Amino acid sequence: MPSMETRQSILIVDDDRELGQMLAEYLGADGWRVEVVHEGRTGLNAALEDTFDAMVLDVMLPGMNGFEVLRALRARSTMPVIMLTARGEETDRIVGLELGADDYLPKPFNPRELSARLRAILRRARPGLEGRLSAGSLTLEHASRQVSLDGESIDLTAAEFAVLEKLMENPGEVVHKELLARHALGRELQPFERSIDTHVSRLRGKLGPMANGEARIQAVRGRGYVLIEDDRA
Amino acid sequence: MSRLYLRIFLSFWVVIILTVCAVLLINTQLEFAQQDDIELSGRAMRAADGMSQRAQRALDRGGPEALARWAEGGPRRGRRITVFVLDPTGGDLLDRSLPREIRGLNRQWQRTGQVPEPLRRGQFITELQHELHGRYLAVLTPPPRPMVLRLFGPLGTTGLIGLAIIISGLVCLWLARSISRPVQQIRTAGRALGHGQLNARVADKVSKRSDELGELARDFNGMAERLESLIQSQRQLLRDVSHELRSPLARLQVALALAAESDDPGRRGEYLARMETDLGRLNHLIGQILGYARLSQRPEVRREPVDLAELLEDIAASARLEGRTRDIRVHVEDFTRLPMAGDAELLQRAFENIIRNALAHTPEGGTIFIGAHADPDGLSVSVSDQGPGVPEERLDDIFQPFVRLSDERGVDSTGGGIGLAIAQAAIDLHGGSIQALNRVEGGLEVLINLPRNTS
Repeated sequence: MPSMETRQSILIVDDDRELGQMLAEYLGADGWRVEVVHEGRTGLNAALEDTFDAMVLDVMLPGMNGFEVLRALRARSTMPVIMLTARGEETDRIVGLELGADDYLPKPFNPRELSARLRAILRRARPGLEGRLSAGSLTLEHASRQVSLDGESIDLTAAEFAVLEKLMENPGEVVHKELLARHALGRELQPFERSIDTHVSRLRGKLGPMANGEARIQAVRGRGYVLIEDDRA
Repeated sequence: MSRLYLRIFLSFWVVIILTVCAVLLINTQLEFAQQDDIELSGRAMRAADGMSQRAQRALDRGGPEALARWAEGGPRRGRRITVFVLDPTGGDLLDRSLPREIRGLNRQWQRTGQVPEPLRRGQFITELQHELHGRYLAVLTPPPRPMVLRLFGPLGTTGLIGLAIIISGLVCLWLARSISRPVQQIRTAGRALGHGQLNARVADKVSKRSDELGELARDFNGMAERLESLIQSQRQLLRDVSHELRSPLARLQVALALAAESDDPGRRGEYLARMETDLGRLNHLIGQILGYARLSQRPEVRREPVDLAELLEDIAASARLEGRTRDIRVHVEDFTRLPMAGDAELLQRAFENIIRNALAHTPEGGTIFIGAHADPDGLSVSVSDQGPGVPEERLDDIFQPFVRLSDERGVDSTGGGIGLAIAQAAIDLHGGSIQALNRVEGGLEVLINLPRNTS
């Protein structure tokens, strides 16, 4: 449980008032500072204006739905986001991750699980190690959580940063998906889960191809992913 | 009469008539031409016999004028045998326009100065001399062969049969293709739809046709349209149901975790009470969803005598009880009896849902009006509330299950339910209609029309 001095703040956006209130109680007892809003637009404004450490976002929201909030948020912020979905459709989960959510949790869920995932994601988001990693034209700074390609800075979400970090620690070597999941999501992958693949695919999109047209991160079937080092320009 | 029918009928009919006519025509012409040939060649030979001497004589005696008179001929030669006399400049003495074959002969004579060879049997050509007027060319020519023979004669019997095969083949091919191609396209669309591709439609090229195939294509497209929207709405319903069921489950699980981890017995009791409420809601929701599913599958309703007045008064009494905490009055218009035949239980559920909906949207201290009107073949009931009403363009949507109109979920999380959808299904089963409209003085009015069905 985090100590009082390091209490981290969570923004919950869910139109189910009772659920929001109970979650606030539970997470509050777990050591988080929690604020609950019930509408997508107010949630987005709160996320952009105040300094929350993470956001728990429901998909079905009145007015502006969760996906729209996430898209608008990602245009300006890389704040960690966990999506909640009650419709239980695979597409909802994929869409959420593709829009840049760090993780998702289907309703109904155990609040203990939500707390654990929040902690995992925030641990990733917190500056930890000192120093920098570089692979080819890519540079990653642990402390400032900056990634740059040929000197140009790239915005990554916490999960994407964590995936890239792990890949850059072992450039040219296959990193297993399970390892990436433990590192980036702080948990084991569930059967058939494709969260890591979605994060990698977004990461590929942000990094762009190498000079020879090949993807920087390549899939090794049944094993994981490998970062290809290009020649420094 | 429809176009495809006409097309098939006419093309067969026309091909058969044309074939028969062509055979008859060619036959008679052929016979005629053979007789002609025999007769004319005889006459032409007789006319040609000594022609050059007679012509030369006419020319010598009376000059070109006499030659022209001679060329006009007399009854002895027969009208169908013509003599053209060309003067040194190449024009006809009688100023007749020259047929094509004679023009050819003329050009040849003008160019070479030689007497040209006859082009066909029965033709006879001679050159005349005059010391003053120069040379003349007399061409005796039998009439041209009939058109049909000139066109088709050179083909021969085999050629004619071949031509008939080709022409009738083309017509039938056109007919067969014009039928089978659209049928093929409709079939392709049908198979695609059958394989679950719900947006499969027949292309405009076929559906814009004005014949039966176009009608078939339009009917198919209409059916596909309805099927797609039906399946879409079913899918939407499934998604909504899943969402509606999981929301209380999510609350239950959080409340359970809170209760399990709470040390304070008072707090724990509070969480357990909440769980009980949510379980009740869940049970109510499942009952409603199953009821709605059963309702929309039911083919027919029971018909028993029902007094709608009594039924409405009963529901109003319950509504008064429920509305008392918020000081809401329920006013029922005074009517003695509204008899009809129907399923009392279904009607009860329908009106209960409509009136509960009105109750939910009426602010504290407001009034709900229930009015009714009877005429010989139907009853109409109106339920008006003093709530905020509904945006005009969404008035029909409120009868869809789980449609949420206001941006806020109800404080008690029960809004956006399935009540009005159940009401609509029940009224539909009775052959009635239900509609919503915004009142001028504010609030929503739901109008129900029901047939009496009393025989």
